[in-house]
Amino acid sequence: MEKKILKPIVKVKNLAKIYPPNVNALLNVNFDLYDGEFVCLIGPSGSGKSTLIKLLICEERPTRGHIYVAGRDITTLRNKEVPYYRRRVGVVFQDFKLLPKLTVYENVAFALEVADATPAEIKKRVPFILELVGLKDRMKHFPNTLSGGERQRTAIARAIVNGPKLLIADEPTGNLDPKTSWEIIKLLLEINQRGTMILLATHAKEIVDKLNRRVIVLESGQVASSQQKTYNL
Amino acid sequence: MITLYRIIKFGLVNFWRNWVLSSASIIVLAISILIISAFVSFNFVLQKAVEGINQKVDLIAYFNDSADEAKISQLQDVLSSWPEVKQALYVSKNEALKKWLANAEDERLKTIINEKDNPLPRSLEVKLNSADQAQKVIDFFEQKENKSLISKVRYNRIVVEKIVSYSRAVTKVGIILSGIFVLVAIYVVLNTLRLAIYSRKEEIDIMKLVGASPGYIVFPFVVEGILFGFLGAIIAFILSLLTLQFGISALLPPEVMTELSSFLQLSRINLGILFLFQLFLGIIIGVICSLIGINRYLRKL
Repeated sequence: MEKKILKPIVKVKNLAKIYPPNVNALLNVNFDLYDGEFVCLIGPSGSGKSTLIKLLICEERPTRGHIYVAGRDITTLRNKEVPYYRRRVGVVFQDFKLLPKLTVYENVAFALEVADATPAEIKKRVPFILELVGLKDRMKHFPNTLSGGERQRTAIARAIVNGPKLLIADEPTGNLDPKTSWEIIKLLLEINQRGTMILLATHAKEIVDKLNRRVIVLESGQVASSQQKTYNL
Repeated sequence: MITLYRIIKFGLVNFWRNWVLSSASIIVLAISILIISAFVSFNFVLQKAVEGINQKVDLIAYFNDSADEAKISQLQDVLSSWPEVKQALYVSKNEALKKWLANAEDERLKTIINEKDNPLPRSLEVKLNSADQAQKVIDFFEQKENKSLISKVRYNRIVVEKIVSYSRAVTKVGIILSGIFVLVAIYVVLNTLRLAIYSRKEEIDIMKLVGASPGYIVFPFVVEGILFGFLGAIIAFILSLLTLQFGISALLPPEVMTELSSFLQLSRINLGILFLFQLFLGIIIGVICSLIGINRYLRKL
């Protein structure tokens, strides 16, 4: 039941990453991500998930192959261009990666500030996003006074505040209990419904099963399966 | 403009919210500034002392009674025009007598030597800027046309040469010692700031992942470095004042103290220069050490 014609926003082609001397983290990875998709990326430890995400956010350069995002090959970005690319891709991590000395509001505003947003935009956008993730009454709190779920919501707010087309979530529920985990996943689904493509790397089988979305399976540096699921949720 | 404002604000917020780390950095910086200023002032005082001793060295040329007054004054003019010569003072027969009478104790001699019967020669007292230039003046007196005018040149060669060699050695040792201490002080500050930045390397990574450009990451640290330097300099200046006011006077007897303070010319202007020097030093060290500390974390993408 194809509702619309999907076009790939992310194209990964023949991607390989070899760490010296001879650790083949990624061998030959190919897949496409389509506009508006919610894709799960699974695979056992050491299968190359983390490496793939590092390559997707330009934290490392591949040994071979290319990653096209919106038509642009990000593996050839110059160091100077990398910050601009990152402002257009949201990332969420297992360990939240919030700035400890900034409040919830400031953490989210920081992503806008580095992107040269005007003060008026920041004043409008940050409370809006914090309301969306359900943290409106926690704006002035520092990260260390928040629960794990609240910290992850802050991180998600920061990741989407610039309005990215793609949100990459690397084990976002890894440090959370099942109930909180599911709340975070529901938040990601909501964001996906608003039109942001989501790539969710996870270990949690029950989440993948329950989501029933397209799954990319990585195994020892290669894509073992990448079926196209029909959208029936 | 808005970026500059944000960078400064971010630096200030970090400075304030990391106050434990900030105060540790400030204290280390203050102590280093104090050490450096102490050694620089020590060298300055030493230099002044050496200069003072050098200036006490003088040469006296005594003239033959037959020497022509005009030629003597010509000699005086030539020497006065030399940059090495601080002063060339002509002492006439009468002045020599007055000087002698003022110092003489033997009453019998005083009656023998008087204005009409004055055996004291005219002389030229040459004060030098530095003892090591004495030889040039002596050579000048030894020249043929001058030699005939002069009966004797008084100048204690051994003493002067000793002063010259000692003052050179003392200055050299002072500079080397100060250099070592200055380097040690800077090294300690560098490592303190490096550790402070190391403890925040995760924050630096986070800023990068959010899409902050290198400038946006570096300059808040520079703002912090400036603040460390500024506050460190203020503390160092207060400590210097306390040391000068109470520390030294407690150690040294009062008569030495008055001589020392007149020697140091401890005026408001000099204290102002000291403060500006410390401020400059603090900010420069704070900024450079911050930049060195953060540099390694910028190379990674």
